[in-house]
Amino acid sequence: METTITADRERETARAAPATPNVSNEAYRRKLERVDAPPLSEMFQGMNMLKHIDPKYFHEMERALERARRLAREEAAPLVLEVDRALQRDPEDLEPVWELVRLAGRAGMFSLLIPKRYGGAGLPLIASAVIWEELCSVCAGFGNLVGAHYLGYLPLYASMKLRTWEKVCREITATERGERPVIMSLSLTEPLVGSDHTEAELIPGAKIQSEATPVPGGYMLNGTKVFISNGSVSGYSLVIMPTDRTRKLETLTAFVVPASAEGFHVDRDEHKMGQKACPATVMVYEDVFVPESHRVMPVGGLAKVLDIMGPTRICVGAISTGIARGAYEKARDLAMTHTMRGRPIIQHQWAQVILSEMLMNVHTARATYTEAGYCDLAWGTGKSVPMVRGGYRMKQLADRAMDTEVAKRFTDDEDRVAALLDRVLAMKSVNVPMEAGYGSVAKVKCSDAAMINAALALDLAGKAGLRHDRGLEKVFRDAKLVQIYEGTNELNRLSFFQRFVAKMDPSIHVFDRE
Amino acid sequence: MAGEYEDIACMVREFAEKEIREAVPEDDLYPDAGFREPLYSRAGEVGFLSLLLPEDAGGAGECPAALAEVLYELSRVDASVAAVVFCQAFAHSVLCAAGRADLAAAEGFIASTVYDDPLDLAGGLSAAEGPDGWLLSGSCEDVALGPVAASLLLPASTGDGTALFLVPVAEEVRLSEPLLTLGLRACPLCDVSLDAAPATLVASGTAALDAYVGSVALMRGPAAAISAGIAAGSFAEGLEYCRGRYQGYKLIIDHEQMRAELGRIRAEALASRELFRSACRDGGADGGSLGLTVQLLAGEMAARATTDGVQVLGGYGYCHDCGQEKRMRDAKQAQCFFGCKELMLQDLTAAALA
Repeated sequence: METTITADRERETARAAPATPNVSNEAYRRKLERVDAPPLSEMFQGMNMLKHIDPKYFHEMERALERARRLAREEAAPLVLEVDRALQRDPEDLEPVWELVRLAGRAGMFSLLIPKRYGGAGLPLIASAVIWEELCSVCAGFGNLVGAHYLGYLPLYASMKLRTWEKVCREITATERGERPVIMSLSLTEPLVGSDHTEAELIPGAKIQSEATPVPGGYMLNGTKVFISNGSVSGYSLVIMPTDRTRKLETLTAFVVPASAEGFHVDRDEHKMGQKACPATVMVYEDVFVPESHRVMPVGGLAKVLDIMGPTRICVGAISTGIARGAYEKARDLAMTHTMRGRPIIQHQWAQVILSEMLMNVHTARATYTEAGYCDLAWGTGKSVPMVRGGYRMKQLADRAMDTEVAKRFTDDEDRVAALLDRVLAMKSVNVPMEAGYGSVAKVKCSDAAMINAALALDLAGKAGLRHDRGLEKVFRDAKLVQIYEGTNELNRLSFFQRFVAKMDPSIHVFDRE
Repeated sequence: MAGEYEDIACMVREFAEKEIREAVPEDDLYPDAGFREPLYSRAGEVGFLSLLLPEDAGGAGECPAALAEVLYELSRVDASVAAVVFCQAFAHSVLCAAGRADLAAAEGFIASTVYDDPLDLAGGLSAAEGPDGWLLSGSCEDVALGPVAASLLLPASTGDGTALFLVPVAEEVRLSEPLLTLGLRACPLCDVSLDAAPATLVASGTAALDAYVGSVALMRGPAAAISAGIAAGSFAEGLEYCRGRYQGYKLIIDHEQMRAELGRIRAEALASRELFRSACRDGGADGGSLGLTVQLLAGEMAARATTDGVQVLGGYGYCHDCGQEKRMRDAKQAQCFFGCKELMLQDLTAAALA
């Protein structure tokens, strides 16, 4: 205790008079040189990965693209404006959402990342990026409806609680093509806590009100979660709560909670500006009992893996790129069919320049999230998806290995899982902070591109873009959300600064308590 | 400028708080919620709907500067209400400029094509003179106030060029269902189709164009006032939120990053306010270039200020319960008064070349 108090005092003193980074210091200078002159493999992630790419990976991506394109353009496109209109009229009537859930389910969209052994497609996360771009180019709400499912699924997959994971996987694949597919959501945000949930340094100060109190055989969950994407249509939610609210960082963990759990209810769906096809739900947990087997992360383990948000932010980059592309495509189509001052809009030079700018934004955004994706494969959690020639097939073997009793017994012991995770994170070839930093780059730059394109589309179209029935104003409403969720862009900028700049010198404070 | 109209501004602020604020979220659900007729009865009683009409035609005889102050104050609370007042004032302005204030004095709303480019009128309507007067046929999109109007002020081609007509809403006038639009939703729009609808000629030839284009030039300052009011509302709500909510260890307002963001919003709100006032002082002189500039810049600034205003509130800013997402939509819609902003840029350079 005394040590902690002394350390706190030292930190307080340091903050009272912030240290000036000593650039004349030799060690510091060497660090700067290292940061300013990274090796080729860190500078050009895509080039670095060229030597590793397995042709099977490319073909898998091609198939994923084709599948998503067919679903988006042939099946979803005729519906999405109508769904958006219906939800504008009544955000509480979920039938239009269920219609899209069934559509996505029939196309196998909810089992893309589930191993083939459990009835899924067995795709790696990074291959799913092309799917998000494709779906979101037609409707961001529809794309996010599918994407938010994986936001719930991925932490469960990463938790290594193999028995619970298998049970949920099998339920997802068994119901996917039915009337009410079982999909997932992630219950993280609370009424007083938003983006600070996603940075370990901010968690101790966050106003988290929820708590999972340990009781015999499990935990009693209490609290309210807000803005939960897919909340009201999910069969399972991955719920993040501390087991002791006075020690949030040390006790934050995750639980898999079925929608049928006693004491859980959906309070309402928010009336959002856009992305209406993906409901944002207020979820209430009142004395919800969750058995020990449904706690899927070691107590306090969540904070340790928050950097693993990197890949999900890459996916938001892909989602945003899809929105930017949709804005471009719709604006271009409208420019071909509408006239201004006696000429088709597309024949005006100023319009050609705007469309050109928009398409350039799409290409830049795509390159950004792709580069971040390669970073994940080279240095981050994507390493678990071996891509070395021939090694891509290893993924199927790894999935098979995880289905063995030996593996399951190993993961029943969470101390061993935690130790394994520590060892992986400590590996020299793993650089999770770099991956998280690239995730922030993709998230911020691609979402900004989405918003820029959505606004440019309306600037180009004039009054023709303002009507709901033309589809362009929806893109504008949809686009804004990607700058907000998955950590606001403001938080991501600081997060990036911390991982790429402040890491050189501990005297640089980023998330200051002052 | 502000001092000159302070009394009007005070009265509008009081009206907005008492009659408008509470109903903003519900009114914004239009066309899924009703149009609030009683509000506009009250607005009519206090003179908001006839500000530009001369006193001898039953109006307040005010100038566009006074109108702009009214719109600014209304827009801080609900830009849709301001847009209704704006559209009515624009129709009055055109009719008065054409020497037909008598037509403007009639009861009810007068719908018009305020989202159209003034240099690209009369697209889909044609007029023919019959023994009993003019008859209009054809169709016209995005007519503002159409669903609630008693008459429509529409341009149509006569064979000799473009003329302006006032068309009473009668059985020959078919109105579409009210349109759902991006923003300013409670200022309703619809498409109109006419089948030999009787119409009164307002002006034709150069007189029609002068009346229309001249009114557009006068109304650019008031249009900018709507944008400025929206930006001011965005700052006020953003500031209030940041003062009451924590991020991490401290109030959001104590994060330098958020102070900078709010500072930018405030700068844009203040600058756009000064811009619309200067355009109204100018009163359409300089061939309307200042008005055009001000509408462009105030529109841009409001669009940025409101997009950032949503960002400041995060997820809450994106939801209907708070006003920020509505302001973001309203600001973008308000940028489209009198046509596409890219064409305005072309016109600004053309004016310099003329």
